[in-house]
Amino acid sequence: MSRTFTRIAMAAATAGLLTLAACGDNGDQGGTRLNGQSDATVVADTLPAAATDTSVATDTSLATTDTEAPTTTASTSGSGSSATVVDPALEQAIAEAEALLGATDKDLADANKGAANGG
Amino acid sequence: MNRTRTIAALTIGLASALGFAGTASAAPPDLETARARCLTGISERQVQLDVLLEKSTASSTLTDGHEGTIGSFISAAKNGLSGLQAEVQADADLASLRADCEAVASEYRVYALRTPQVHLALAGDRTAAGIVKGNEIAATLQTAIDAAEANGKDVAEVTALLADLNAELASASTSLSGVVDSELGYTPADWNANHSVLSSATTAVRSAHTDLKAALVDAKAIVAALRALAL
Repeated sequence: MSRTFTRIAMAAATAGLLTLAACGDNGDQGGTRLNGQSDATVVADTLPAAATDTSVATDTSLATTDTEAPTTTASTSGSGSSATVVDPALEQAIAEAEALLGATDKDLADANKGAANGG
Repeated sequence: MNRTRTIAALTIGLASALGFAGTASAAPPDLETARARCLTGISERQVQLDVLLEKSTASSTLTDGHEGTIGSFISAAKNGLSGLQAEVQADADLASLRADCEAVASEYRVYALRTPQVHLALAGDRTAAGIVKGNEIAATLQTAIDAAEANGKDVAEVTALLADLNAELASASTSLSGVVDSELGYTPADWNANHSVLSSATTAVRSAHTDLKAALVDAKAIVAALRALAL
């Protein structure tokens, strides 16, 4: 009896996992487009440029991504005949460039502060 | 009587010379008070030089050459200030203390020159890195525009925006050309002779920064327009 119960419980658990996996697949597919934006796009759009300023950690992280040139890839969704016009890597590159601008703003402000100190 | 006047004048002059270390009190400082202020001024400058060195070594966009130049003049200033510190500690009269304290500011110009120099170099090289990235973005946008055009989309607006973006990147690049090399070359003696020695470099870096900012606005507008075309 106990063995039978164990088998039933295992079968139920397996079915549950399969269902969850299926939901995950659907979720991923559904999540790639949100009003025309990919998930990566949404994340990139919410990156605050000013937050990176002159922090050493951010500066280093930028260096790791500097070499990644954005690429354009063909879309695998829809009719298959149209190219993906906005690659997430492109928006990531724009966000990184904006982060550089934010840090530069801070550099320029610090340059002025130093000059104002005299001596 | 004359001697009394001379000592009074020297003491007042010393208070002026030490103005960098804080507001001079109404009464002229005695030798030890003046020495303490002077040593504080030296210590503060040593700390500031360390901060500048740390910022330059931490930057991933500062070129090796510029980092080397900055490291070199910071090292020289730190050594020079250490030497002055020993002299200040040994000064036995107000006149020699005054001369050494004036040298702390006039021979090193840690705040007036070195600090803005380093920050301008950081800003300039960071902007240069932004221009490189901007050119990569422009190339990718061109590919996307070509693809949209091949699909029969009207790309006149995005093509115009991309031309604008490319012009802004070119303008930023021109503004920045050779500026950091040049501004890092100024010495405290240059600043002493002309307090506006960094003005043109500051204007150039700001101009490049403004152009890059405008280029990124264009890039985002192109992305939005391409997305609208794809709908």
